[in-house]
Amino acid sequence: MYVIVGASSGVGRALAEVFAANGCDLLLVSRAERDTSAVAADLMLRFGVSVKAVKLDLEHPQPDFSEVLAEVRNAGERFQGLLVPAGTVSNTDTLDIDTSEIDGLFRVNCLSICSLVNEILKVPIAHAITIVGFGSIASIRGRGSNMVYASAKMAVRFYFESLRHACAAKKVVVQFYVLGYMDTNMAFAYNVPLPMGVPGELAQRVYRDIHKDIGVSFFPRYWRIIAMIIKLIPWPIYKHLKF
Amino acid sequence: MSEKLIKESTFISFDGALKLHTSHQRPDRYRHLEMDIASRPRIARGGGYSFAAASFGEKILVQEMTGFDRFLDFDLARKTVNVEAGMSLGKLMAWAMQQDLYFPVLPGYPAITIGGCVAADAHGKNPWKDGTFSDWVTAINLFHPEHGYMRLSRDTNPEVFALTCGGFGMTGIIVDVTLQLVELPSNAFEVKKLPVTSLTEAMQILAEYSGRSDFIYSWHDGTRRGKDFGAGMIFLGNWLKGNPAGMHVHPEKNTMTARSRAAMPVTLWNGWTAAAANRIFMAMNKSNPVEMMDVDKATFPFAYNTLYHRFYGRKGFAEIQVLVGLQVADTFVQKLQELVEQYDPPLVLSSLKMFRGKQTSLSMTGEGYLIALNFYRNSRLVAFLERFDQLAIETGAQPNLSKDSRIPAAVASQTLINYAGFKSRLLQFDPVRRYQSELSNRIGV
Repeated sequence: MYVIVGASSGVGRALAEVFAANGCDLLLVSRAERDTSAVAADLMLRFGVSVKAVKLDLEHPQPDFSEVLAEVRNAGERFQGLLVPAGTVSNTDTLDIDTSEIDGLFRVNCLSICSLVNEILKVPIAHAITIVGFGSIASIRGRGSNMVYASAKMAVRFYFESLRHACAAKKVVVQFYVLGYMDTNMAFAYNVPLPMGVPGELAQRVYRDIHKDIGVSFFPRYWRIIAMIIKLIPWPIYKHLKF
Repeated sequence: MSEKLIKESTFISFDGALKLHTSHQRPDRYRHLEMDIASRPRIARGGGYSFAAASFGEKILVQEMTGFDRFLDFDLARKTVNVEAGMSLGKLMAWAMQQDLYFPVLPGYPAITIGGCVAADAHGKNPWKDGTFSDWVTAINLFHPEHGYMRLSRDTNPEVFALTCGGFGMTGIIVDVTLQLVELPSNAFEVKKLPVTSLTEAMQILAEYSGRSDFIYSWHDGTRRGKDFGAGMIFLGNWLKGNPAGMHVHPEKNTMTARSRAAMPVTLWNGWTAAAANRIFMAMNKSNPVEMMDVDKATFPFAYNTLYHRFYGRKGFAEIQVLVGLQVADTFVQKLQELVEQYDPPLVLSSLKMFRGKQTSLSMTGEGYLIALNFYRNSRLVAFLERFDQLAIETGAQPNLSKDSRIPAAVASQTLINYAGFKSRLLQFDPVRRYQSELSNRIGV
């Protein structure tokens, strides 16, 4: 069984579909229970796998992980991994952002994810598992839009790199995908300068490499080169860029 | 946190006649459907395969439903399946056939959505025998901001159910639909091809075989005139017994959209190319009078041959389809031929099938012959269509609103049997008229 957090739409839903199509039982977690239940019903009917939907609000100051943890404990050796593509953006995430929104963006994109991973790793697990985090190219270099979102994604990437180091001697594979523009509702309303990645193709790649110690990977891959270039742009030029 | 979910997009009708820029939302969560957009006019959109602009309009928010494409429930004993409205027919059929089930009313392209089929009350290849799409709908889950989520069926909210089946999305967003499936008889059809010399001869054969064929329609060379007018072919299909080996193929992956259909900058259809293509098509079918055909290919012929529509290019095509009553069919066909001879419109092909519909909305209703005419666009077309509209009014022929992107209010109100009743019942249900489109505004509903 794989636990997918943020499975109600976008990348999470695509992951759920690919993993279910490959015969994996799933625990789908999101705050949008109606949507996750619909995804669960769909996957069970189409692929004959066991799929359960659980409500969890990552924006809550003290998210209740108890149901997720109980399912992981009950699954025992059937628990194969945790994928956390959950995330959110706000169109007011600029210099004018409300302070309460800063808290919410950090909780959803970083703090609650770290807490959930931390709690799951406390469950006695002797077998091999994989933990997969997802970041964004927005966090390649600081910029004036999506400031808090990018900061939170940078923090969660750092956490996953640390986690990989901490788990190096354990049977825990830790992976992190840095995502370019994806064809989901998060980017739908924005004019982006490059083609959007297809969630289904990302999901196929994640499934293919789920047991590999790949560390950090970019999707689409060309974003690794773009990220390097962006980092090399001198500040006098960079400060004039609008993206 | 406030999400930015609406952008500006360009939409084009499948026939290429109308192109405009308007607001666009792509909901993939229930809360997106419920988002407060005040009294802003809006309309749901499926695959965008309506030839008319039924799913967009000027200053109208388009709510693209393709993210709502999940299977929600399946009752094996009753053979009913509950699916979200944005699911394509191709996805439904791929799953249904794995369960040895089938849906009897399937229009010709697999990317058309279930919600779109309900809204247009689409028909398949033998509506005389199978009825229309809505006949096989047992329940609908509709969302309207004023009414919330409404369960509709012939027993629950029957008035709104009737308005929604063939109501072109004007009652609200069709969220999910429960469909009645039937057992899949086989994985292939036997298709017989019978040459005909006229539309009248085709009507006689259709009348004889429609009640006992699994699908039946005619095709006619639109470039013929004089004594050859209406020369063509009847395609008569019946399920084969058993499951012949090697009969399963899939449509091409690159599905055609309204935009990709219009990719060619010029139209390749003209009098010469249409006449040549039609003669080749006729000769090929005459030389192969009986064919075993895979279910997918027989069901979704346009997925296997997209060139016909692509050849119309950016300028697009015009299709008119009318339901002509049984009593006036001979007269209608005779007058149609006179009109074609007189105006010489750029007719590429025509098609006939028998039809039986019983909805009380804006879709065609009653019994008769469905006559479809396909044209490329030139200067002679407008005059012909104006005269054709008069013929429709004179003979009580009802237009298919989803096929004809130019039907004006005066023609719709005089030809559609339920036009006035639908309009008044819709206003009772939604006095603000939140759900609008270019089509609804054009026909004055």
